[in-house]
Amino acid sequence: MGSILKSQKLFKELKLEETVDRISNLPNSLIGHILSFLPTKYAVGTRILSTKWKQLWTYTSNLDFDDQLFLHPPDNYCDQCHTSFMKFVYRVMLLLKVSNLNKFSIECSEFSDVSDLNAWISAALSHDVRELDLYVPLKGSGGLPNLKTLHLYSVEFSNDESIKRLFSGCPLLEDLVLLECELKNINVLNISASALKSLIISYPVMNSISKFLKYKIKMELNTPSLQYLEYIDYVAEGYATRAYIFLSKLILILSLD
Amino acid sequence: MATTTTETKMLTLCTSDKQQFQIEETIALQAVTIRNMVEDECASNVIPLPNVNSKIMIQIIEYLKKHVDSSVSKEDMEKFDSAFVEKKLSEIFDIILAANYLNIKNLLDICCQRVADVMKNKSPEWVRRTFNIVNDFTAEEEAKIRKEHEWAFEGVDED
Repeated sequence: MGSILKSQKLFKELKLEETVDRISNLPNSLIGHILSFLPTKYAVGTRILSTKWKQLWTYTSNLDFDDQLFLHPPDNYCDQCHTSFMKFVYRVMLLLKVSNLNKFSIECSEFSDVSDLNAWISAALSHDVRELDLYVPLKGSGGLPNLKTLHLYSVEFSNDESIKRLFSGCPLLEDLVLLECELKNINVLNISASALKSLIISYPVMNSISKFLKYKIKMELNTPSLQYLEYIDYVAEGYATRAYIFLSKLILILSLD
Repeated sequence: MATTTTETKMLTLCTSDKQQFQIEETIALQAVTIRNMVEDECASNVIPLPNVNSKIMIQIIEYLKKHVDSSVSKEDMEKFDSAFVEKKLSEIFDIILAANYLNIKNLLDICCQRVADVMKNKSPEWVRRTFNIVNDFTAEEEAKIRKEHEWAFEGVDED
């Protein structure tokens, strides 16, 4: 009941005095821009408004998929919901018209087959996507040969090999951020990336005991193009580095405790 | 000792209803369209803006004046932005068209975000009523699309 009253009040406040359909008369690109601020589920849902709107969602430049929006009730995982979510993502990627995708974001709590994710990422890359946001349980990682920026937050690496594979798969990587990543299975954090210009490794010390200290990790940097290094953590067990001749800014915040 | 006099350079903007607005150049140049006109020296003393009327220009200048001020904290700027878009939808659409023409990215984004927020999680009937969108589907066509997108309309707010 409260929600109905709130909805009616909102309706009165917003209602155009005129009776003209202003939104449908905007250029398609602007309608696409408006829809790019909606989760893709709702953007595609506008197909039902009128015949003109049937195709307008294809002008959106951001894709934002969240499997939580497909669960009814929320947080209640079911196979059927998961299947309809997967089908939805595939259909959207097939029908999308824009050539320059600004953002592809996907949040998915369950993944039976990582090849689905690879297919979606490939599709996003074919639309020249600028930003990939993946919130997925990932095992292993394929290569992203054109990727320049990678920010990993709270990612768990399974072993030294997985880190190696990550960097060999991304030869053009220029900007890497590892924020609060889980390194418990790592002996040597070996960052070998010839194009890497900016590296930020941060494990906010106040949060908990540092991974470096706790797991006695050695750190090796093989990054000849590095210009910016920010490293906030406890001191690692050991460091091995190759020349920093191009390094123009270095921020080290180390703690010995 | 040499004294430096900083003379504030002013620009005159002329709206579609022939109203003239004198504003500081630094404020006006946040609009990429105006900046390009000034850089290309297409603009003499008066910059004509045939796609913007004075009523909308006043609001856009209010926005630009706030955003040129680098002393405003990020938090205060966000507060300003969210208060700025508390307007009737008809005005928001006018500002969207003007911001698109003048190429003021953040202003365009906050207004489009505002429209998107109004549509989010609402039933198709509510959206049609609010935006005066005429449903020109036949009953069969609508039923077909509704079936294809059943999941899209589950769990929306009550009208």
